[in-house]
Amino acid sequence: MSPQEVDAFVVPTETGAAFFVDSNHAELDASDGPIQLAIYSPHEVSAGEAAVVRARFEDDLFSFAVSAAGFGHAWRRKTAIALLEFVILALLVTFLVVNRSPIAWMIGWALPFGFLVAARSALHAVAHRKVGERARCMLTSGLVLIDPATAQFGGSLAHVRDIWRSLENGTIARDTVALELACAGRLRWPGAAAFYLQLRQTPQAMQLDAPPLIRWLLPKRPIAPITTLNAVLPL
Amino acid sequence: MIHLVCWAVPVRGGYVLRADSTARSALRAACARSPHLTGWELVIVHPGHPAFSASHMQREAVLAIECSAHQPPTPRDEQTPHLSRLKHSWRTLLLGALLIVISGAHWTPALAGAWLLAGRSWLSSLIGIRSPRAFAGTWTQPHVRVTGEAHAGLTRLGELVTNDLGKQIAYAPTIGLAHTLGLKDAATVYQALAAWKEAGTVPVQDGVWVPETQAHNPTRPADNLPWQTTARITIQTLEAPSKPNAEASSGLVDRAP
Repeated sequence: MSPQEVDAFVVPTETGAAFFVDSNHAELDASDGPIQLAIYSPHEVSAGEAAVVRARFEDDLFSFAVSAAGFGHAWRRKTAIALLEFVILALLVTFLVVNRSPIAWMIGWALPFGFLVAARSALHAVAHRKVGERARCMLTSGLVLIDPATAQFGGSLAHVRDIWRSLENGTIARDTVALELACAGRLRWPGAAAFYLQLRQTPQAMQLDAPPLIRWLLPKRPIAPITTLNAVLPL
Repeated sequence: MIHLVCWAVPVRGGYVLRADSTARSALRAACARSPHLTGWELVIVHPGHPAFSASHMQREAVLAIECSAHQPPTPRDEQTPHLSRLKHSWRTLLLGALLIVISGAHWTPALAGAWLLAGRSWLSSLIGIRSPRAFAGTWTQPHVRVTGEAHAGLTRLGELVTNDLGKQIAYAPTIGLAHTLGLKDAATVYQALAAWKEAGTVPVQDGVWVPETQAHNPTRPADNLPWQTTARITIQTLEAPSKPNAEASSGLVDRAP
């Protein structure tokens, strides 16, 4: 089986350069073959740097697999529980309506919060059962190869070349916002734009800066993240 | 094969070995991986000294990884499954209790309240929805393959330590450079050294001290490092990197510190 290549790019940052790995972990299927990083860089990457990027990518990939392994687990049983919960909700609503009880107005509005949890869980399980299957397959047979692949995909090479040339020409300022806008627009590289956006709004910064109420409202870890890694390179 | 990284941070008179910040979560994720895949490849990234010998420090590297696994838990780690479940379901529990309180003699609200309070979770565990995942043993495997790879950032730190820090006591320049290079683990080691002064007295959770006399194998021939002869900033197709400083040692590792 031929390995599946995952692209790792060396891109400029305000202080130097950084690696980011453009990978949708939820779509990587270990049954299609082992995973191999292909590093696209404007200069030679030392073996130690490649080892660090590989280890961090592997950690990120398998941590995601661990968190997603429960997706889709027992979706039929979850659906059965959701149906049972609907029956109980229907009984309760009927009781409140028939008895014209004043408590219906007091607690009726809160019933969906309590009685739609199982339905939400079942919907989540049905919608993401493929992701869960791939995650379990990754834990069972997933493998990241030691040696990086030859960086040969023309589109990825062009992306790295364009961004570094634009920086050297002065077309893009060495600024995270400018780099993000350039990647989203002229360079047509949405993966890098997402990386710069993540660099500006790291989850840690959001979590630490936000007051408790806002922190509670912040979105949790996405289902299928575009994963990025940040390791500054000496240039 | 599970890859782990250990930093050999250059200090005066030797190295301080420190597990990469991801080692701990990698060890935790390894618990859920298939047991037949949990062979360990431990890469010591080092400044690229020609005589550096990874096989001479494999015990210390394994110790550094083990120390990282036994770090005090972060608040996120401390959150037990029960606490997490309570945090997410407190509204449901409150509604269930409210329904039971206001049910009076009617069985329908009482049934709904009991379902929210205990019925759903009881049925979930009864039919196996919350069955815990079977964990394989981890980091108990005796076979750990230890290799060494030169790291360009550590090379710059090593040069700074050798050239500029000759008689300086503080590690302030290296802390700044480590932050600039994004080497947070190295910066942590230098900050610990700034507090403890002597590398040998650094607490083991910050790193494991290895003297130069142990880390360097004088009989080893010098190798050319790849970036020392390469002009930079030209887009090129990278080939699979050669491993001039890689040296492997496999076999039983004596894991006693």
